[in-house]
Amino acid sequence: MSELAFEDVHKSYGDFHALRGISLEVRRGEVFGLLGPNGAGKTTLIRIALDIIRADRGVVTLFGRALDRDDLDRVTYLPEERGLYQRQRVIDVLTYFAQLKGLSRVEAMRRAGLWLEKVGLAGHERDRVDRLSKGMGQKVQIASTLLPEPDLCVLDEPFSGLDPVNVQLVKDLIVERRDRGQATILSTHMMNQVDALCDRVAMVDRGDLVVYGETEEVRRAHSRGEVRVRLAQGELPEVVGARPAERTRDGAWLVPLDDGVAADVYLQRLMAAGAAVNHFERVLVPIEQVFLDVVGRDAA
Amino acid sequence: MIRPSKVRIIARFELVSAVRRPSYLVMTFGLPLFLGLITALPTVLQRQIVADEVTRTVHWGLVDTDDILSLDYGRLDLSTLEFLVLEDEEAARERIGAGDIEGYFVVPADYLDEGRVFSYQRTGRPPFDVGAATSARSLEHLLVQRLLLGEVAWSLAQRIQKPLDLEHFEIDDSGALREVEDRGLEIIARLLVPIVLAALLLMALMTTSGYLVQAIAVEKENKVVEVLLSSADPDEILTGKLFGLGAAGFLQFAAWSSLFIMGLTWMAGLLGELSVGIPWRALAVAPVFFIVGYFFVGSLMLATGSLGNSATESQKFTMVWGLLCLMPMLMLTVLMAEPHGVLAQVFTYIPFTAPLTIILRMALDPAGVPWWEVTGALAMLGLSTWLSIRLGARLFRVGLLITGSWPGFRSVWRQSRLR
Repeated sequence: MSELAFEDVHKSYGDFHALRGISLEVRRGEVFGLLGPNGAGKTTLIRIALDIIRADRGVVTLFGRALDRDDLDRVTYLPEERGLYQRQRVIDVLTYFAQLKGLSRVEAMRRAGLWLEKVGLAGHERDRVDRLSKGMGQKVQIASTLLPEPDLCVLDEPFSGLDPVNVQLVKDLIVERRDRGQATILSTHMMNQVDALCDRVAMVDRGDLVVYGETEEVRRAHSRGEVRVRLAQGELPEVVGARPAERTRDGAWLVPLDDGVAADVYLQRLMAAGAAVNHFERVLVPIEQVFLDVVGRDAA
Repeated sequence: MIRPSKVRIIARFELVSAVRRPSYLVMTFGLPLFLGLITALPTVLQRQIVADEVTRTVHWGLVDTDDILSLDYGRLDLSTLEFLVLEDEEAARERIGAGDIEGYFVVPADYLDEGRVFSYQRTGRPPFDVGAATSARSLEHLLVQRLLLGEVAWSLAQRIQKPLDLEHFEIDDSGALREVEDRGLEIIARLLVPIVLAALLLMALMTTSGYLVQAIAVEKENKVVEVLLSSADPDEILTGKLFGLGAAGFLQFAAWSSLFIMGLTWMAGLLGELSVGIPWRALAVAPVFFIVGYFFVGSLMLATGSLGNSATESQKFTMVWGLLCLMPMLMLTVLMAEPHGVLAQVFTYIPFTAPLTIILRMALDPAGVPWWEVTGALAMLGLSTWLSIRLGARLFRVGLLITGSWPGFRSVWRQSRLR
């Protein structure tokens, strides 16, 4: 079931077409990667989803029905960088935003304490936001976004300013949400995190949806026909349909296949040539490569 | 449809945030107390010093060379002045040297022809010498009295000495009389009260509207506005902010007005039962005009302030509203001279100038502003407030999302209609 769906959504600002017929859906319990270069239309799409602006044309449904302001209490948003009152105390900011999402003051205060502990900021309740480090501020913002335990949340660059330990912490929180059946839209330029976390992705470029689907499928579709082979012993035999292989540091072979040659056909030929194949896999390009191929090509 | 629960949460947050600010506390309580102290302290001290000086008996010498005044030698007691009538200047100088007198006058033999009187006093006396002034005035009285003695009737001599003893009365619309004591001081107090009251109203309006502009500019800079917009409608945010910061502004105005009235009452008592009329009617309508006026100016400030990308830019956009509100203060002399003249009447119905003008007029002449003018001004202001909130909410929606370069008023207006 889809938590959020766009159907043929258009949006223009004067002569500038920000979105051109976007159709996509975000499903319950998935981590959805919303990708694209700067100015591609991601923010416009997010703003339409949050009912901050209206689409010129097309249909937007949230939790299975037309956009309703009250349903937005089940959606939270973490904007890219900042997004906090700098001169307020941490506890006041968390409580305020949680109350705006429909929580009672008492419940908001209780959850604020729990979430600060969860993100490693227990004891900082009364600190002013502008006195926190960038990373701590980012964690307060993440706590503020996840505290209402929304059915759908939009995270724009959630890993910004975080060290590797805290990046892992945030990744764990996102995975926890998936396990609870809650949907997360992840908009980021850290493509390795998209590979690691996203079940499905959409790539927007100049207002058009240029890539959309299961992450694995997208990577497979954009892969160049390269296989990774590990042999039990001996050298890799030369067979028809493959270009010269490259040895990796772990002793495996990366073999680029000729156009039109399927991986399983190459494997059959390899075994027929007497190779003792220990491991064989089709190499999928990372999402970053897909991004560069699709968006980089258009930009070029 | 505005959701009251969202408005309440936003209003509460804005109110608590505003009243917790040190700058707010200083402005609301610290500044008036400081101003009160620096006004009251010198007044108390000066009053004490002047009172001591006035009640002190002055000892002055008088040498009447040709016995024009026909006085016996010795002491002449005139309440707070004691003239020591002496034979000649030598005796007078001796008395100064002995410290018996502070100075002396010499009425020369040719006084009747020339009118000259010589004054001598010890060196190093203060520039504003109460003793010298009192003794000179008393000598003048003595001279007039002696010159008229036997020449005119006693009653005429009295009138010549004090030809004018003014008593002031006021006549209201019903023809009833009211005696006004000490007109000069009352006029000063009457002018001061409306000016201060109008200034307080203007300050409260501008300060509160300033908070609004600052709040929205900071939220745009911090991108908090996007988080807010994902939780509440622009109309709810605008209304919540107006209520929350309006409450903070109202508290400020109430605190200032209370401190002002307390100070005024105390000062009136201090300055010798000065009949300062506290303009109760003006004070009664002031909160109503503050609230409606604030919603009018505040919604415009918030809407135009939201169009800026920074606090400085927002302040530039909102400056025009502040200047329009300032008009009654700029035209103060005209309004004071003719509180019910054409300009005052016109300003009463212009929403930007109505709050200040009506308070000023009612404080100057409470009976001169009929009830229908007050309600008319309020109705006009109320209608304008309704329109400005509607228009403000449209601009606010667009303004909140403007970042980067200014798209131009035409584009903003077009977007405000489209959403």
